Amino acid sequence: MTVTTLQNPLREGLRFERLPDPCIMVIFGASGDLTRRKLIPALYNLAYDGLLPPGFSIVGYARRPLTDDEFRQEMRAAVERFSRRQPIDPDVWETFAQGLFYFAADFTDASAYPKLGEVLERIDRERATAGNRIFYLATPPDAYETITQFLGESGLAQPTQPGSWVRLIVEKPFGHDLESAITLNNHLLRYFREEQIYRIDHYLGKETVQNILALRFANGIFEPIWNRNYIDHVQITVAETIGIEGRGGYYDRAGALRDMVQNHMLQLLSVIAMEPPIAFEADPVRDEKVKALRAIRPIRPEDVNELTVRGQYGPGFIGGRPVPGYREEPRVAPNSLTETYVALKLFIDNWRWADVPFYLRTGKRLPRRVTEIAIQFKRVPHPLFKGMATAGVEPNWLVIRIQPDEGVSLNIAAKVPGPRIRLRTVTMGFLYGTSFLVQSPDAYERLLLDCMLGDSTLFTRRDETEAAWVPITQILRGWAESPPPEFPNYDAGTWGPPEAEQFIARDGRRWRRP
Amino acid sequence: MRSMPPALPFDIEAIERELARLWQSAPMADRRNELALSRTSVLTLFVYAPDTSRADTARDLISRLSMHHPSRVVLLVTSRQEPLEEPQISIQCNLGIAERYAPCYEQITITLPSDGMELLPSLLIPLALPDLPAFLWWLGPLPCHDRRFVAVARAVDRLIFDSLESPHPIADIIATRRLVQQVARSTAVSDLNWGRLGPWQETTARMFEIPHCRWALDAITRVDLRYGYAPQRSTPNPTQALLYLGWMASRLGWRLASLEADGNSWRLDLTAPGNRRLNWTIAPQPSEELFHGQLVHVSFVAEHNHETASFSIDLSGHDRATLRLRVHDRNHCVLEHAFHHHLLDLQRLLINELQEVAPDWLYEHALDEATAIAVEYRKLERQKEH
Repeated sequence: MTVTTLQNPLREGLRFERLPDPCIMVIFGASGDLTRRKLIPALYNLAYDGLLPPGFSIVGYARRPLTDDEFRQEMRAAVERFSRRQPIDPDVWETFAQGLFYFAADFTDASAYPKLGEVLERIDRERATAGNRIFYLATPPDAYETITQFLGESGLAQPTQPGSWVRLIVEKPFGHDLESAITLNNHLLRYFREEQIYRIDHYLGKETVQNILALRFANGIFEPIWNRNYIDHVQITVAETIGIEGRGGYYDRAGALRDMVQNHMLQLLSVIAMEPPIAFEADPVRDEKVKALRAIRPIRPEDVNELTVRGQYGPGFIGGRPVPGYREEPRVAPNSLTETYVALKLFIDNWRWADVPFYLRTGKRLPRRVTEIAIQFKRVPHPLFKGMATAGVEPNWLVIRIQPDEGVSLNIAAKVPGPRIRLRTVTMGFLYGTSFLVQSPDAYERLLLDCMLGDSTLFTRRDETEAAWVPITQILRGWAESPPPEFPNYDAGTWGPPEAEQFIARDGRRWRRP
Repeated sequence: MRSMPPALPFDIEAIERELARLWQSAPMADRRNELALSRTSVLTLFVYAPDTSRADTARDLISRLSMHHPSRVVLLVTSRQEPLEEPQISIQCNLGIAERYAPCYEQITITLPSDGMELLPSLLIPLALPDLPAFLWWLGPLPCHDRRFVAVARAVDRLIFDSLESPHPIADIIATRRLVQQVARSTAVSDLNWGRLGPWQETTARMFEIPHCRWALDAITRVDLRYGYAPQRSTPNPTQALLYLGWMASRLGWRLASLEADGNSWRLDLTAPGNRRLNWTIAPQPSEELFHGQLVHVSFVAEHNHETASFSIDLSGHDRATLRLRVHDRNHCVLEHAFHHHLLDLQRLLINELQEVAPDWLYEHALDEATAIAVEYRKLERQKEH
C-alpha cells in the first residue's frame, strides 16, 4: 500500500490517550497459581475495560499437555473465580479467548523455543500483533536463568521486525542477597537489554508511588519542610494479620527481611526520601530513588543488633480466633529461626536527611492489617502553652495510608472551645478512593498495562534492586554472626516482640498505633 | 412589563449556618464501628430537576454517587405547588465503604418556583464551596434558547446536560453551539450524549491502529451509521450521530459538500483532503427505549487501488452493552475485538464528567461540524416548505 497514516488523528484528545501496541504475552508458568489468580483475571479486566488493543494475544507456556480449548476453559474458570468483573461478559470473553493459546513444553527443553517462535510468528500473521512480545516469568525463580538463556539463544529475546519490541517481566524475588541479585542481573543482561526488563513489584502498582509523588511535588507546602530541619523521624509500617498462607516452603527460606523489606518497604522509603526528579518519567524518577537507596548508611555487623529487632510469632488470637504459631505452620521447620517480624532503624546520609531516623517494621500475625508511612514533625521550638492543659497533644504527624483506606491525614493541635486554653490533637484526613469517585485499578492490571505501553516508571531497575540488597545483605551478615534469638518471641495478635518497643523507646520515641 | 418570580421563603445564609450546626453536633467518630467521620470536599454539584419525576431520578443517583463522593450536593427542584417547601439540609455519612473512615457529604434540597430561572444564579454562586469547581447537572431539556440561561451557566464552572433529552434536536444543536460560545470564558459545557460516544470513538480510533489497517484511514469511501429510534418517541434524535460525524470530520479535515434527506434518513457527501469524496448515510433504526438516539451500528468501507477493507462496530451482548468490532479483509472476518460500553450507565457517565474541569475542545470542534450540518438540514427543510 502506498497510502500510510503514521499517526492517527482520531486518537488525539480521546480519554484513552495511550493504547498499547498489539502484542503477544507469553506466560511461562501458565498452569501456576499466579497465572490463574492474578494474571489472566487482570488481563481479562483490562479487556473488559477496553484497555487492550485489538489482536492482543496470550500464549500460556507450561509442561502439562493441554489443547488451546482446554486452556481457554481453565482460564475462563479462573476469570469466573478471581476477576473483579462479574459476571463474565460473553462477548468480551469470546474475543479475549480467541487470543488465548497454549504451548506445552518443558522450560528446560532448548528445542521447544524455536517452535515457540514459529507459533508466535503464526499469531503475528493471523492477529496482526506485529512482532511485539512480552515474556512473563511466572515461574519459580530457579527457572529464570534457563528460560532467558533459551529465549536469547533462540533469537526470541530481540525484535525481529522493524519497529517491534520485546520485553521481559520478572517477578520478585530478584535474588536472595546482593551477590545472587548481581548474578541474576548479569545473566538477564546477557540476553536482554536493561530497557527490555521489567522487574515487577506489585506494591508499586498500588498508585502509591504516584500519590506520594503528587503529594510531595504537586503541593507547594510540603517540600520546603520535607527535610531534617522539620522532620523528627519517619515510620514505615507494613503489618499483616495473615500468616504465611501455605507458602511455608518459600517463606521459611526467605523471612520478613527478604520478603517484605528488601522490595516493598525500601521502595516506599525511596519515594519518601528521594529528591525531586527532573521529570515524571521512568529514568528520572528511578535515578532519584536509587540515589536515596545508595545513601542509606552502611550497617556494620557489630551494629546490627542495635539497629534491628527480629521476631517470630507463636500461637495467639487474630480477630477472636485462635491461630497456630509459625513453627506449627505447614512446611515450616519445627525449630525454624526464620523471622516473621523485623524492625529496623535506617539513616540516609545526605543533606536532606542527615541524622533523621527511618524506622521500618513489618510482621505477620499482627493485630491489624495496615500499611502506612508516618512522618513525625519536630515539636515547636518554644512551648508557648506549657503548664496549660496540653495532655494528649501529639506532635504533628503526616500519615500516608496505603492500605486499607488509601489516603492522607494530618494531625494538628487545636484549642478546645471555651474560656481556658486547652489543646487537643485533631486529625484531618481524606481518602483517595472516595474523593475521586473511581476505584484504583488492581496493581497487576496497572503494571501489565504499563509494561505493554513501555512505561517502566513503576518497575525496578537493575541498580535499584542491587542498591536495595546492600543494606539487607549487611543485616543478614550481621544476623548470621550473632546468636539466634529465642523464637517464638511474640504472640500472634500482638504488635511484635517487646524488644521492638524498647528498640524505639531507647531513642525517646514510640511506635505509632496505626 | 415582565413579571418577577416570587422570592424564596428562606435565607441562603441560614443554610450555611444550619450546615455548620450539623457538623458541630455530629459525633466525630462512630465509636461502635471504630470509624472516623471524614469530610473532604472536591467539588460542588448542583443538580437541577424540572419536575418531581426527574428529581426522584436525581435523588437516587446522588445517593449512589455519594457512596463514593464526599462533596456538597445541592438539588434544585422545580415545583408548581405553593407555598414552596423549606430547604432540606442534611449531612450523610456512609458507613461500610472504607474500613476506618466514613466519608460524609452535605446535601441540600431547595424547591424553586416553576419560573425560577432568574433566581438560579443567586443560589448557585453563594452555595458553591470556595476555591473548588462547581458543576451544574441540568436534567431535562436544556433551555438553550432562553437568554436568561446564559447567566445560569456562567455561575458555574461546568454545565452538564444531555442532548438526548432535546425535544427539537436540530434547532438545539445550533442553539447549544451559540451557548457554548457565549459562556466560553467562564464555563465549560459537557453533553452526556457526547460522553456516551467515548467508547465508539475509542473503537473507531483503534481499528485504524491495527497495523495492517492503518492505510484505510486515508481511504474511507463509505460510512453507514445507524442510531436507535424508539417507536413511542415522536421524533428521532440524530444528535449523537451528528456529533460522531462532526468528530470524524473535524479530526480528518472533511467538509460537507451536499446533504439529501429522505424522511429521517440522510445521505451526506463529504470532501476529504486531496479532493477525495466519501459518502455517509445516517438513518434511524427501530430500537428499545434505552437506545433511543444512541449509535447502534457504524460500518466503514475503505478502498484504495485494488485493496478493500471493511469494518463494523455494533452494540452486542444480551444487554447490548458491549461494543464489538469486526474487521473484514475482502469478505473474510480477520479480527474481532470487544469491550464493555460502561458509559451506557448514567452513573458512570456522570462520574466521568465530574472528573473533568477543563473545556473539551474535541467536543467543541465536533459541535461546530455538527452545527454546520444542522444548518444545512434546516435550509433543506425550509426549501421543502416553500
